[in-house]
Amino acid sequence: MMTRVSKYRRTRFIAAFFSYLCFYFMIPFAYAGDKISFVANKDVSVNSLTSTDIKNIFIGKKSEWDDGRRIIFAVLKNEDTHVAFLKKYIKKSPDQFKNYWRNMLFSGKGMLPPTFVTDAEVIDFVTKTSGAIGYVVQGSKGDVKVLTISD
Amino acid sequence: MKKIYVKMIMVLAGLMITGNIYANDTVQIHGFMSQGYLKSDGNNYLAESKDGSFQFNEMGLNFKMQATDKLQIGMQFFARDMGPIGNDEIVLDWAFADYKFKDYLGLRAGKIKSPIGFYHETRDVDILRTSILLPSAVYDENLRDSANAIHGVGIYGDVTTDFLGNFTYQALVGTQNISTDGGTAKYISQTLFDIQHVGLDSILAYSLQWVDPSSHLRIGGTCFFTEIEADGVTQNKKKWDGISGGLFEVPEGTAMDNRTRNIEEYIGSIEFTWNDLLVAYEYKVLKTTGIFNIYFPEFTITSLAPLDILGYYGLVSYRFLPFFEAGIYYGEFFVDANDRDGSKREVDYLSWQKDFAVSLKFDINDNWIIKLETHYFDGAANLNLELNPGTNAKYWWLYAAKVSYVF
Repeated sequence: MMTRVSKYRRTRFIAAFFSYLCFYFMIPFAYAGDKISFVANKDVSVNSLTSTDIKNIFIGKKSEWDDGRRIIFAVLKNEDTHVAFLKKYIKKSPDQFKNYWRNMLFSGKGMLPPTFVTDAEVIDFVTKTSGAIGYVVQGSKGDVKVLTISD
Repeated sequence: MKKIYVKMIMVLAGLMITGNIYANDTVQIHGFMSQGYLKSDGNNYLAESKDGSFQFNEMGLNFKMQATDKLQIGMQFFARDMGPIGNDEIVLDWAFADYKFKDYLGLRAGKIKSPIGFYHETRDVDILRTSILLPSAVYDENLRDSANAIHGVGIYGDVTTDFLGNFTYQALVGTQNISTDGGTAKYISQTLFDIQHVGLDSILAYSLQWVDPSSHLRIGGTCFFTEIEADGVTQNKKKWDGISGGLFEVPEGTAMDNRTRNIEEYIGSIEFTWNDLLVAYEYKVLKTTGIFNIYFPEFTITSLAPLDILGYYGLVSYRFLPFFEAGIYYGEFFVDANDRDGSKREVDYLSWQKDFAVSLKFDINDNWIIKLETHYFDGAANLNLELNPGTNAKYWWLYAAKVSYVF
């Protein structure tokens, strides 16, 4: 009787453990479903970008548009959108992304990107800054160009 | 210098208290500050840690400006105290102009951080990693001043592809000024002679990194080549007799020099990240040929000491909660790769240092962190002899705690 109860508990524990693991690893995919739009200043010459372009822009590996204009990217620190964006495009956690840019800063290889709390602030910055790009919740309005992601 | 140090503290404190940090997309001012505590048994590590020591701090102030679309200029002032090294004197950590022609080609000129392994360039900034101490098997604190940065020029660039991932390269040439009371000078002297002059010859440094298309895997290699020259006089007869096997009686004050030729350091690195998990492994080989000359009035004694230093470690860290992460690493360091068991030495465990560390990191907020760390060491290689005269313990513990602030 004791053995049967013990086996039942062990099975239940293993099931709970694997459920936790499945839930943990599904989190990024759940976040990735969130809707994000990429907005750019109207003087930016491109209308679409690939996911690889997005990643390279936001980790500083792609620093100029096709016409040679400097890319200035804005980070939205809104928790859900930021996490969703990082998981889907950058493949880093918020902490890893923050430390990536601090690494660049304190080694002299880069500067921290401008960071904003609301979609409206990002859109305002992108509207006023030549060559700027940012990400916002889909449907946010402003005098900006909405870029499509081609893959 | 003390006045400058006080001013730097005041600037940092002012920025911390007021939160008045100047940062936009053209000009930025940032900084960091950390204060630690070391306590050990058996041996002193970095400071007089057997008695407990607060001589374990770092601070930096960083200025960066986007001068034009393609030109960034910046500098960082840095001060640290690590037992007998540093004493909170302010040094120019790095200062260079960075002109990016294209993403695949840029030019840097000035004082540039040396690319050594994955983590040397930001080893000063405690908040960026889980552990308090970087694994000493690869990142030797004793030689940090000579490896820190290069006065010179360099090229760098990124080549990105959709299918093969990202390649980053860097090549630097220049030199580095080091002082007679720095870690490298103390390491060379080994308390045997007073160094009156020490300098590095030209330095060449290369690095190549590859990040896979999914951005989870990073593989890299760095090479560092230089030579060191040190001149001085023998410190005292007794210690010199010990190292020379009693063959020579060298009076105190006899002129001598050290020419460490053909210093070649190679580090291979691999890092894997998945969500909040980080796994890393680094392997270092350091080849040197040390030539000691002792100048007697009638003749000169020359001794040659070719040496292959070996070190490697594996590290795992994981963020369990938004405010808490933990890490462990295990590293092995050998003074002589051809004598790993120390059989050529009178005391075998002076030839290795095996370090097992457990680290806890608590993020109070975006700017403040607290870290706790425990090390268990097997072996007493590479210890600062000035801090550890006489017999060293084979097995020993080190405990470290640190509070850091970054803005």
